Amino acid sequence: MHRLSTALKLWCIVTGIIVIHGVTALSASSEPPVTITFAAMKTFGLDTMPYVIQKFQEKYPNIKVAYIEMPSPNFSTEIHQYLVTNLAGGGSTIDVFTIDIIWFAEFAEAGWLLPLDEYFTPQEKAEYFPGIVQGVTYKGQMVGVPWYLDAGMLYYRKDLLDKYGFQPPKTWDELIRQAQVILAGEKNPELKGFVWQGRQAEVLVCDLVEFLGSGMRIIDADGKVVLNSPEAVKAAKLMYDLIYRYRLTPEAVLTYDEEPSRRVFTSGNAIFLRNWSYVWGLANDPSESKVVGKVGVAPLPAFPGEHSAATLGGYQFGINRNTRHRDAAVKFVKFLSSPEIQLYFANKIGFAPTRPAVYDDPNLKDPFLRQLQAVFTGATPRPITPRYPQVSLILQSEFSKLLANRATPEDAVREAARRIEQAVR
Amino acid sequence: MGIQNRATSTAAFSRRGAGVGGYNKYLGYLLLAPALSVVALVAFYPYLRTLWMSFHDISLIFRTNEWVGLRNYAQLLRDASYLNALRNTMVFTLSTVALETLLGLVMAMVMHAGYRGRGVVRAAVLVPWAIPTVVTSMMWSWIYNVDYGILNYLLGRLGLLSGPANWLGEPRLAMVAAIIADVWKTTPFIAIILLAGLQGISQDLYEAATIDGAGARARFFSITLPLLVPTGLIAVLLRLLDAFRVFALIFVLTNGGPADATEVLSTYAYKVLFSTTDFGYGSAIATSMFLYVLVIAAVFVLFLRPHLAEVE
Repeated sequence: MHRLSTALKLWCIVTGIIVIHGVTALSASSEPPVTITFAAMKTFGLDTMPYVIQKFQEKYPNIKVAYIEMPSPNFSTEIHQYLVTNLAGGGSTIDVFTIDIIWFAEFAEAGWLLPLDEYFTPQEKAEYFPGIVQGVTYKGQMVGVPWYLDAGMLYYRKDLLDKYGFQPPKTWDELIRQAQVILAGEKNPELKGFVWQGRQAEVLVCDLVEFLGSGMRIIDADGKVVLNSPEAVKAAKLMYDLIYRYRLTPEAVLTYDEEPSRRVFTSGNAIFLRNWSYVWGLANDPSESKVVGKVGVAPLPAFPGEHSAATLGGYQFGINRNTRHRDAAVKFVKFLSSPEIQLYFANKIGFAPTRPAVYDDPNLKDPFLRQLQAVFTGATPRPITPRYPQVSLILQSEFSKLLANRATPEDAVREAARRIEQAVR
Repeated sequence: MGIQNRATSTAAFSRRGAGVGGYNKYLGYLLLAPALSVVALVAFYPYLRTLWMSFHDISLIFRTNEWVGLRNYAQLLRDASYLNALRNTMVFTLSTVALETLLGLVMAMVMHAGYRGRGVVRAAVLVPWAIPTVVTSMMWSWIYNVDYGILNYLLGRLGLLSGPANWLGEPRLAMVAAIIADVWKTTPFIAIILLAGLQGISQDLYEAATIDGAGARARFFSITLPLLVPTGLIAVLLRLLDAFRVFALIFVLTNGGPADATEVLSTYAYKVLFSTTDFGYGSAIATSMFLYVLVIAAVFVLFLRPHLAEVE
């Protein structure tokens, strides 16, 4: 087996040399144009990436960008698998890629990401939100370049809250009380109090982090598992009670990921919705929504005396450590992350910039994005550990049991903590 | 006619072969070599590689690759998630195959009966089976939707449900939902195989039985059923092996949830292998599946052999 793989490597190297040789020989006559490969996730604006790439190529005629389209972020497991398969082989098929913020610890630990400290001065780093720079840094080294921010937030029916004289809720108790009053007053059997995402999938962990509140309540900064706490039990109990005690959240929440929950809200059948920033555009699109102009956004509620938490999300850029075109790749990534392109993505598909300066740009069309700064101050990362995928699967499994009424809040928290401790050890 | 032809050509080959001696023997191997190496490459190499990996602790992230002997297998027995997936897989396999066999038999009889428009029925029956699983699974996930699904609407209109059923959100119902979707999709497969079996039963037997005064019931239980057993067993074997490895349906419908109630071995292995990139342990799960399938197949072959001998 060992001999076989050595032979295979040798064969690859020889073929590689021949190919490289051929390519250099062919292009030796003139200034060699470099081609870098960019694997990017699909976005709502299908034409955005090709446009940005074209802009880049106009600016740097000597660098060509080959574009590989990965699935959209709700298929994050598939994107993860694609990147892992490509990068783990140690090849350089892809040079630059979009990467979910939760994978930096894992990819950096594996040595797949090009360290970037030498390419970014402290001044350049300071141009981004501090939270996002932290998110793309692993063990003190910058290993990614910020693209856009996303965070969980509370969408609410402005018209209904106004009708009953409510301000957006600051605490969970307020949310529960407001929903109860509105439901009692509206007498609409279709209307639900609060919808969120309880499907046994990554998004359940995002919602969980927000219920747990600000601070690292699952694994702390030193990598210690701190989940088994009275605070976590309180959060778990809230999730459970919303479904089974207050009956504000339908049991169907166990089947909801982002889109099913969004549809309930935009068809006018929910007072409150927890979701990402993309819902704003759809909620105000008459072909998708029956509540155009009746929707407001606020930071998610918190427990009394605590700060609101918003699960930090969004895709960023990474460079393959084995890339053969470091300088070209860095140039490309810096271009993608430039104020000009961040403004373009913000105006075109509502991606929230990671540079505060862009929010003050008079050309920023959407006033909605400016509102989000309040949400982003509570941005809370999911557990930062190279074992994040295991941790996530365990949380999904144990908290799904809680939501399905198969485990008490105490049991779910204790069991999840025990299994996570075993996994990260 | 086939046998005769083959006999002559074999004879011709060996006559010629005798003349050239050893050269031809090597030529034979040489000509087989490409096909054999393809088989080795695409079938045996991955099996052996998986087996080999299952004895290691392999992590892409921490770049470890060390021999741990049977540790991964010992862990299987202590892993509650694995045992849960194994149990779910067995429940799913046994329920779907039992239902599919019964319904498949009924469908085969219907397709076998002589009436106008039989061809249309035969084609229509195959449609669910011909659609890719991922597509039918998406379709079913809409059918099962709590708020907008047609199933809740129909059951509500018929007065069979007081409130909407949470098909994919309630652990027990979710397994039932997956079983129904699978039965809908793969019953035609069994039906078609059984139909072939039915067509192989000579009409003379039925005529003779009728003359002897046997009723429809007696004819079914004494002629149809016993003579269908060999084909039926093959159909059941193929379905068992397939159902045991169910993946796409579960992956699309529930992703193993809620509360791990529909987590089967394939989805669990996929999560371990590709989400956590724990290739050693994932390989142990995959290898254990291979062993289960092997046992099922072996038991069936033991059952099948006497029946097949009977037919011959």
